[in-house]
Amino acid sequence: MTSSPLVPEISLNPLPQSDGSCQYTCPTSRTTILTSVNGPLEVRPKDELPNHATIEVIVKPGIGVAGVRETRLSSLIHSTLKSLILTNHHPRTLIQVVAQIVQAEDHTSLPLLLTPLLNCTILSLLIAGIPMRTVGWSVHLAVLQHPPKTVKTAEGQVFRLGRGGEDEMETEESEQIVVRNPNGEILGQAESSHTVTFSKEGEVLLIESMECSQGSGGQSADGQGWDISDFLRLAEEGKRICCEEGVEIIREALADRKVF
Amino acid sequence: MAAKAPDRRRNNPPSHGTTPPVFLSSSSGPVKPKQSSRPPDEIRKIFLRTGLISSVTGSSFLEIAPLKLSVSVLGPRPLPRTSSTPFAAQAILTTEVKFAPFASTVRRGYIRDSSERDLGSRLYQALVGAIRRELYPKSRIEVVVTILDSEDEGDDVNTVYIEEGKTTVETKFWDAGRSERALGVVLAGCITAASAALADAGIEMFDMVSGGVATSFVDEVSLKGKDRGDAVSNKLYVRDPAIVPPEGKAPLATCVLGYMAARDEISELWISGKVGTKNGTAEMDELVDEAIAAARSARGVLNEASKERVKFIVDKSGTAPPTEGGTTDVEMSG
Amino acid sequence: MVSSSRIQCKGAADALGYCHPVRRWWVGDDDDDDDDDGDGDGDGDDEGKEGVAVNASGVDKSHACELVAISPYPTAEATWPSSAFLLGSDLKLKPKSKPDVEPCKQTTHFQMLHFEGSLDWVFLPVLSTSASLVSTKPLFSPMSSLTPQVDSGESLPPPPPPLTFSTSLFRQISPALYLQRHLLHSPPTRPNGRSPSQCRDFTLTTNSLSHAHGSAVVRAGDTAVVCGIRGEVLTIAPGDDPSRFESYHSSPTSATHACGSRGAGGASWGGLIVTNVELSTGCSKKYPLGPPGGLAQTLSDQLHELVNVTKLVSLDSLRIYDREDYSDVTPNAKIKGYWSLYIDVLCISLDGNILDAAWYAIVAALKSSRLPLASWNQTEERVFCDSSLYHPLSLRRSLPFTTTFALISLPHSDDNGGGTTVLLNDPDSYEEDEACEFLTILSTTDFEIVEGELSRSPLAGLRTRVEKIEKRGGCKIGLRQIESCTHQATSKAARYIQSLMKEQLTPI
Repeated sequence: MTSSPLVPEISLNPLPQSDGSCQYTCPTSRTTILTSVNGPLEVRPKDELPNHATIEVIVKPGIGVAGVRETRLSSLIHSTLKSLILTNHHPRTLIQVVAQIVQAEDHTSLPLLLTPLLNCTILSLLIAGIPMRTVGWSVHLAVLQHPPKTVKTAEGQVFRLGRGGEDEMETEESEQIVVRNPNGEILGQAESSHTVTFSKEGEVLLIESMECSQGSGGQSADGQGWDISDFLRLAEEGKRICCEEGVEIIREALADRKVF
Repeated sequence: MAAKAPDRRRNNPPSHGTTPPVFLSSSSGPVKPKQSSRPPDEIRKIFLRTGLISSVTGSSFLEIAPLKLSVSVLGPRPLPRTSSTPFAAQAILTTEVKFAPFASTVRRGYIRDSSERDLGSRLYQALVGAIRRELYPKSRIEVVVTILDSEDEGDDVNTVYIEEGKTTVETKFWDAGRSERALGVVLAGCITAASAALADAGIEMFDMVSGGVATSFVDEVSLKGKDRGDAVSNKLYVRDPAIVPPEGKAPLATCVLGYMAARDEISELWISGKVGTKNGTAEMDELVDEAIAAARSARGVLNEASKERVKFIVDKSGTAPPTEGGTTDVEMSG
Repeated sequence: MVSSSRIQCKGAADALGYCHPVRRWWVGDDDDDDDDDGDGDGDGDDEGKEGVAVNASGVDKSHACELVAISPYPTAEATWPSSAFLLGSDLKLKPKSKPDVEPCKQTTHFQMLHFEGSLDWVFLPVLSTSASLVSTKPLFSPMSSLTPQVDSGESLPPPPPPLTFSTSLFRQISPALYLQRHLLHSPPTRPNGRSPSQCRDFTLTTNSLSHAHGSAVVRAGDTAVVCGIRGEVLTIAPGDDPSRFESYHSSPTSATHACGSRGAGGASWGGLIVTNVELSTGCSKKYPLGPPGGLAQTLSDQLHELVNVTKLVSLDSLRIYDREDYSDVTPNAKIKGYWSLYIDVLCISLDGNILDAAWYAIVAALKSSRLPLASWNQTEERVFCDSSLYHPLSLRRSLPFTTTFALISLPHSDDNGGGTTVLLNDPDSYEEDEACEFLTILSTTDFEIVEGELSRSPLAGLRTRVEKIEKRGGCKIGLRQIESCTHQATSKAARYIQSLMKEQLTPI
């Protein structure tokens, strides 16, 4: 696989014993996730749902034991999968997803981990043959001030947001750039981070955006944040990436396996 | 400071470890805490209200000066269906008492410590005999007490005094029975509030249990003297004692009890401290009688709170329909 | 006659025993009640006197999967799970004989089966004949007579009166339908009487606790939280470099891992503030006691992240310097330690949308906090506090607030066949149980304050700045809806600030 900054490295079924597994490496931050999907399995009576499958998501940290951050990641993935998986096809069963963080620049950073976790999980669900309503793809976008100070960005990773023909805004527009798949270094300089997940049909599955500018020296954080219209344009761009490129990546990755 | 094992279900404090703030008192004669002007046979005003939490079966909120606690009663509900659950002909009662981390002078952790477990088991003893558990077979009743604020040892525990240029960590206003007194007031409050919550939950009881606490004090000088036996005559009994002892008095013993006034029965009795040996039985009887008197006063509040609640429910269902049920804007037939 | 008929429920310790409370339902006219009870006793059903209409405590959600079924609407999607047949035939309810009732007052018995999470409740009507209820086939045959009465209903008078529910019963047995019915009404009204964009009234009390450095009690509807803030001193050891505390984001280690190893980092400015939520206080019967579950952990992490993302507390008031004189702040005073803030949020009563209430409590409690003045004592080589001098925490000027929405989809609106969605501001737990999609917006708005009064409009030229958006679950929300939500968030922020001002906590 080519080392493009936009195409992740995907290895399918690295764990032959599981129903479906996938290893996913983000091309820039080198965040590596290994997921395994098993199901439909027998469900504990406590968790059994009469006409739905129970989805269980476990996120295992790269370092140390799981804490609240991992629980939150699990719950975010769980809520996303709930709207993707056709749970009524396998009632009274368990679909178990285990995601292991193999390598990460920052093991506590939610934005850096969420996109690889989601993409990797969706790929392994496809391989495991779990019936899904549609597929989703996640992309992580970071907004930076225009001349990025010292960061190195690869070609194609950076783009600007077009504004609908308002000339006086042109100057303002040039101040900010958007970086796809930022690594930890870029994220450290970013003003805001946006993880957007869309389904193939363009439905909004998950949005996790947050202000992440560095507060240094206890300075006041007033005036941070973004305008909602800026966000909407960013989200539209994210939607385009997810629906076009993301779906293409899934298609290519699974081409040999005749899933599509 | 040795780092404790991190709690993996919560956010953890910084790895450097933190210490509670330590106050420095430079004045040689620090200000004495103010005395209350309450007569010794009068308990403090109690605020008690039930039914504030809508999502549980029964609840109550109690406030006695600084003590603030909230009780919720869950159940009766079925025991969990596991193979290990034994058959229970009577309802299984569980009681949990938890201080909020910010409820006392020294910040408490989230894991229950020994004093909280102790309070929980004493509360269990006080309540278990009053509930008609045989009416609720194969089910459990859970009583959860959350203490939001309490009167405890006070800032003395983390104050350092400077005397003649040197610091001393010796606490100035410390007396032996202080923590027992503090816990006793908390326990009495827990018992009263838990009964109110059980009544609010509609759980059948033989009688409502109210908590009472009393402390016997003697003159400070007589305690130091050799002839301690003679001090019996001038004992001072204080009902619902505050944390600060009366002027010039030293505490002897504290008695906390759970009392069913209508049946004149004691369901829980806890005496700590020194009860004289010579005419010990008489001394103890006096102390218990004082605590019973305090419990009787608390029972009055308990009755009022229950009546108030019943009146509220009757008013609500009698005249004005409840807001949720009363909406007629939706076609319900079908 | 129709309107007076109602459903009664009889809790019966039946064939399945106490742990499987089978509830028997039947429709009858009010004047039949006494007969019913008498019959119940005749059947050897001891709880005859408990045959009351279901109220809030009658159908417990936690028992729900043992209850038996029901929806009056054989909707198109209504699937009949095979378990309905099984359970229906296995229960072997005793048929109720009612010899003295005329045919027109025929009582219909129902057996209920609840399917957790399903939209459709299945009604298994059982006619009150002495016929065996064990066979499955006749159970479903009278379904056609149970179709909802159409409002336009002229035409054929259906001989059996349609089922009518009391509001509270309908609310319990078919929450999804109940909610949809409310929201399809025009104007849409939620079961709690609010309009979709209306949030609950809330009350705020600050500094009511004696031991906390700052505290706030927030009650929004039936959700009540208490937030207490305690400061503790973090002393910097001689070898340590304080610079890591000066920047916000922590070094890359796992939070739990870092705690064990002192040198590994993990502590930073953000790490000085420790936020935790406790739900195991008996705040709701749905939330189990014991160690924090998934919800509490997620909330703790969310609130911790919110404190960090907003950089709410500025570092100025957390530094502890090496100086004796408090008034003289020399620029090169050495930093000897920091205040570490423990933010503990206890949920006393849980009725939905705990995040907003908890965050508001945190903001108000931080705003009302007073820390004792601390300084490094050279002779004792430790940090001492002054017991009489306190200073407030310095927070950022414009305060951010969260607003949470729950999205309910309405599959069949009356006019068009397509599904529509309704966004509910500040959902309660009844609505939360039915919604699968949630949106939380953290936003800041600068309001103009004229003579102590909040002007209704935001400052000219300043728009609401969004600092965090979290949208989880579901797939129905549109990007445009997010935009309209920010407007609602602005108006909610105005109410928050107003109530802060009432507590003498000026927002600026």
